[in-house]
Amino acid sequence: MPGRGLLVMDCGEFLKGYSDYSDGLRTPEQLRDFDSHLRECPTCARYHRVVRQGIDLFRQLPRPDASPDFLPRLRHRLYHIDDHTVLGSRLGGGAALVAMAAVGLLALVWLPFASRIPVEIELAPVAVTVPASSAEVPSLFSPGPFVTPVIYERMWVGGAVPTIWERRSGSEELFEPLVQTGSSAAENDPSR
Amino acid sequence: MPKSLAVQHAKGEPRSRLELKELNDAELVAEYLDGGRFAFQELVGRYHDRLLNFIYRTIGDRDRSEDLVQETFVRVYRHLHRFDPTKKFSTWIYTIASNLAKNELRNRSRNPMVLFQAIKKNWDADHRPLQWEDRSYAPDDLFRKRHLRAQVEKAVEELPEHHRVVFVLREMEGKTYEEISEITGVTLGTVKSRLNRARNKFAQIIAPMLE
Repeated sequence: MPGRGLLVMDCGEFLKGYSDYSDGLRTPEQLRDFDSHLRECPTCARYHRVVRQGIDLFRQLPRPDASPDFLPRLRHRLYHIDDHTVLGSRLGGGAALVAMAAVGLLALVWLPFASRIPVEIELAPVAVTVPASSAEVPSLFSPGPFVTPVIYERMWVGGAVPTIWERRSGSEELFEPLVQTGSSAAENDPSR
Repeated sequence: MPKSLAVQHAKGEPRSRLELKELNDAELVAEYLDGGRFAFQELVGRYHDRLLNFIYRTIGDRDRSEDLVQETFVRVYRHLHRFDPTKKFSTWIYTIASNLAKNELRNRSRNPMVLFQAIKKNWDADHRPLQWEDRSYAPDDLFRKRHLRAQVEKAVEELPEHHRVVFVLREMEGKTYEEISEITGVTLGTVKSRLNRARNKFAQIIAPMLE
């Protein structure tokens, strides 16, 4: 840095206090020191020049204009605030009073009933009897078949080959007879 | 309230717009609170351009800036009865505007889509509004000046948000350090430090263009 030995302040001090200097917020003596540094130090002089020019350009930037509907829009918004305020002051007090009275009345009517109603309703248990196990009663969970081997045999021997599953309309594909008729029953006879 | 037209004026009589123009801000507020219908309009007329410029330079989106200026006036209108007349009205209204601008920037950082939209707007020179050229400039000068302005604008946009607010308030709006401290809600020392850093950063960005 040229002429550094002659400078009253160094560049660090200059940069640290630059804003105050730029805004004239230092004592006249300090301002003189800054001026003197600027004269002697080309780097800080360049810095000062750049800041000044840049800020001048910044101040010259075009200011945005408000759109033509800015004021009508604002007026409209303010008008509605007034409207609500007036309505609120006219109706607000009365409406609040009416609402509070209604709630109070409702509470008065409801309270006697409310005290009688149990909070939790417990139903009486339902008594059921366990059905006796029977071969004729089909059960989904009992492992026994609809027709026990004994019955099956009895049926077979007796020659009567009943169809346990009665054919119902529409259920043919779903259910097949457990005891089949005719020759097919004979083919499936486990004793053969 | 200082001695002024507000004191001299007979109570109950509406003031003319010309009379309102001669009142200061505090007197206008008092006039409005006393029922002067046009006093608020006068305040809007005094501040809407300034606030628009301040918010625009802070957030960089013109349309959104206009919305925020509207919101500022709505808030002032709602809370004018709470305004402390011992304080400066301009500081109060700038504080409201500054807070709205800060919230806007905060919301943008949370919602990148908004930021994208803001950047996309005017991103191309073809999308910018046309302006008549000043023929007193030579084309080279004109181009250089436009280029420089664009770079300066960009340099300000590049400043961190809290530095930019202080920088705009000081350099564009001419606020004092004390006013900036009140508007931004930070200490005087912080204002000085932020302003110094903002100027420093600004100089670093634009130096290559001004050489």
